[in-house]
Amino acid sequence: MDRREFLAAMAAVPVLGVQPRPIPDYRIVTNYKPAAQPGMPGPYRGRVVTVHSPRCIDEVTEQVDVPTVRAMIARGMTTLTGDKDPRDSWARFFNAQDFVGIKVNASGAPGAMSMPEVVAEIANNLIAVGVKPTNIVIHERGAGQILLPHYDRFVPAGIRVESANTWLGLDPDVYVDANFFGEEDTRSYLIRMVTEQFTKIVNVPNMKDHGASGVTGCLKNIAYGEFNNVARSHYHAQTETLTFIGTLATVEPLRSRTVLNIMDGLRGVWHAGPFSRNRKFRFYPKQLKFGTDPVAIDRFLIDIIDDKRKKEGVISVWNRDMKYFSTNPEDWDRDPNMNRSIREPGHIEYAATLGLGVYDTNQIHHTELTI
Amino acid sequence: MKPAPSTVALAAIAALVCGAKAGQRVEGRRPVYVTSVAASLVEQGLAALAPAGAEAAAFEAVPHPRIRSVPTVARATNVPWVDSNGWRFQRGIKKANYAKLPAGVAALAAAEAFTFNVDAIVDPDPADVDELGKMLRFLKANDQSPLPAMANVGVVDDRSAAMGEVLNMLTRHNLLYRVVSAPDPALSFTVQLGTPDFPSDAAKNPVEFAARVRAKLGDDNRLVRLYGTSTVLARLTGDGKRARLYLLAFDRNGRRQADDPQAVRVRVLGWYRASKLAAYGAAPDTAPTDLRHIGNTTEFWVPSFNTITIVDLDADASAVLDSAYAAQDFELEPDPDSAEWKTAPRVVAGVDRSGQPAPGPPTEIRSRWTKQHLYLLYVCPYTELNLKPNPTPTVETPQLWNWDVAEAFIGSDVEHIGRYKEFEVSPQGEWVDLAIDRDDPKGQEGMKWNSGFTVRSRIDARAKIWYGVMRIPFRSIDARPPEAGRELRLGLFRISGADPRQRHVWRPTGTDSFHVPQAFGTLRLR
Repeated sequence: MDRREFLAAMAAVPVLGVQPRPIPDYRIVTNYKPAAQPGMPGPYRGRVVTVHSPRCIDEVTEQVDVPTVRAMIARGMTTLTGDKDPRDSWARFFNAQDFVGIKVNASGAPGAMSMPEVVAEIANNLIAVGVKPTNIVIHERGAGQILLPHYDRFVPAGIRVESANTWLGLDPDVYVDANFFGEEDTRSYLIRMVTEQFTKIVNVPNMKDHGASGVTGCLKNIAYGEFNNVARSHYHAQTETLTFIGTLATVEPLRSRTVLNIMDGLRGVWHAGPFSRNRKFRFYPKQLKFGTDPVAIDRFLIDIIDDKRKKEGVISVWNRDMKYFSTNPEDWDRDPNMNRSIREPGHIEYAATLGLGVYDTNQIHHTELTI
Repeated sequence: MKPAPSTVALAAIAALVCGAKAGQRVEGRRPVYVTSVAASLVEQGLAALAPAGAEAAAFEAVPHPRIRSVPTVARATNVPWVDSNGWRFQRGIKKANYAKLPAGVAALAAAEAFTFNVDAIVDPDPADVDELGKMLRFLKANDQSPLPAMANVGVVDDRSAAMGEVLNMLTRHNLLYRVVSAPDPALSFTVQLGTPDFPSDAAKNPVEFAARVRAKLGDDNRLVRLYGTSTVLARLTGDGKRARLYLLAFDRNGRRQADDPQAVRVRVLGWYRASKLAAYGAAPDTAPTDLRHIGNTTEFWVPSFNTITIVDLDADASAVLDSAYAAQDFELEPDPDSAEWKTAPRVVAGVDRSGQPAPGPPTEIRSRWTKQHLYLLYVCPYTELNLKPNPTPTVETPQLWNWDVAEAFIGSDVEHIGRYKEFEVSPQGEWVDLAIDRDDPKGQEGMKWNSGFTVRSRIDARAKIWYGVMRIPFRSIDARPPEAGRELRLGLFRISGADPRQRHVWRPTGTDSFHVPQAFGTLRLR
């Protein structure tokens, strides 16, 4: 199914209500060529490993159990690669010559974020295979939110916490130009850390609902989190998140260098994401997902968020009925049966049409473990 | 001129301090007049005292510039509502009265008037006098003789309220326009209500009307694009050799809080180097960064600034082919080592139409001139020649551009850059000359036109270089007799090979066509 057929198919589904918008005229500008095997979907296309542990986080105190997280990451990586020793698993992706960016998600911090304990364990594994601490950068695009989790307190000395505002800025030569709603500012630039510093990226999203894109997982974290001027896609009731997220994720060198996705599902947000102002919308999936295929991982994220919403007796992330739409953001913030935008969880299936991974669960090899 | 009674004393002080009377221009810069509340600025020589009486009445009251947040369907818009007087100034106001300004906007008002080159009376809130003084000092330090305003499109203004709002939206969206009384072929097109492209009803929705103008123009053809902001207005002035870009920031009353070196990405049509950046509120050594020439554009970052930034741009020197004078006409000899050509000034066509390096050694073009003729020599390394079978160099060859060919596009009409002449020579000595009029393609003479130019060519098969030389009568390209210092508009191109068919370009056009006169460089007789 190509992209046009995909949209046509979506428009034909009667329960969707509001029709998808036509695909914007995207112009991708980059001088970077894809790697022989781009990081996404990478060597483990259509493969997801989920490691559960009831002990990984305390639902009352939200304290993370570090030894458990360490064990979860070790099992997840070895199960993904088939190695016995976790170091061998990590060495498949990283070596001493690499400069690694750890792309976290801190947009809902402190209530929702890539947990510092998870990030620290990832950093420890990178160091174990020879990556110099000074060649590891925990980063976000924006400066404001990344300071809230205090990652620096959890990771070995030398590892830096940066944003595009504090280091290197934007790359003027790599951007996606698209006019969505008649805006003048039509460019979204890739941050320069990705183009000029990182040889590899570990993508560490967490499990969240998103008022515009439906859910925010691997794809949205790596796309909207590494490019600027992305919020313009969802300032209106009907958004362009359906196609923009996947399009950004295909841009080189981002696509080639994002070699590993570890989704932090210790704690999640089932409504009013990507933020977590109201704790009543938080929940605790108590799991980590591993893979190189962001589409396959995100495909399961939809179910996790939507199943939780069903359990709470509220509308699905797929609901496109305008009767659940409010122009008042406070309605959406308070009431899980209100939308602030028409959610587009279909962005994950759309990304599959761009070659970023496997969406069909029948074709995804999913291994679930509990420790 | 007579000062108002209430300001006589202050006017006298002003006259003592800076020799200026109320209403009199401060020498050496465009006047900013202030009311008595800012008399200290008059004493400092930064402003003149506001005129009174009939002279004051010549200053038309304008609202104060500001920014507002207006809710849209989903939420408060991310694109705030900018209230600028730019469109009023474009419409014809040359004297503006910013009366009874609320606190926080006096500096922006002065910057706005400066940007649009209008005389202004600024009546600041007392709390703003110091800030206004700083702004006036900045503007004074960066004043220069105004350059002509640059525009993409013309607008026939019917003076209606609807058209006023259309002008406002065009200004707001940085669609550079000029108010004209009739269509001006020098501009891309003219907006006139009641025409098929712009029916009168369309003006009822000014936002959509501006979008219609934008769509017709095409973003790639816009003189200025700004990225990273929706609250900065641009005004571009220039004379072909240099340009001055004014950026007027309305956000947070013109104040940007973040210290961001990449606050605004600017894209200007044409090749320039930035000779100076003056940003109010920024360090004196502030400079544009990451300057790029992409296609026929120049791009750079402007750091965060407060209220106004001025960027002076010089036409890129590499966009000039100097032509060396020869006292006498000489034989057409396609030999780069001959006495006539050995030391001739030269440029290279080493990139493709998008500015990316073209394969192989670059094509070299040299030039000489006499009182009668312009000479061009092309040095064209090749891999394989794509030659027309059965060449007929004694007569003009139609569609010569389908084969290996070297081309020169030469224009002398700076007001109508779409009018120029095209000359081509092939390795076999075939030729074609055409009169082009991009503003009137149907009316152009095309191949019917004959310049009387002559050519010669030579193929060095061993070195795999072919040479072509042109002798072009000046009378065919310029009504004026040639003289040292004269500048003409020039595009230099070459097409080589069959598979692939390669374009070699001196100044990238940024599109599939060579016929982009905005991307031409300059031929300078010296």
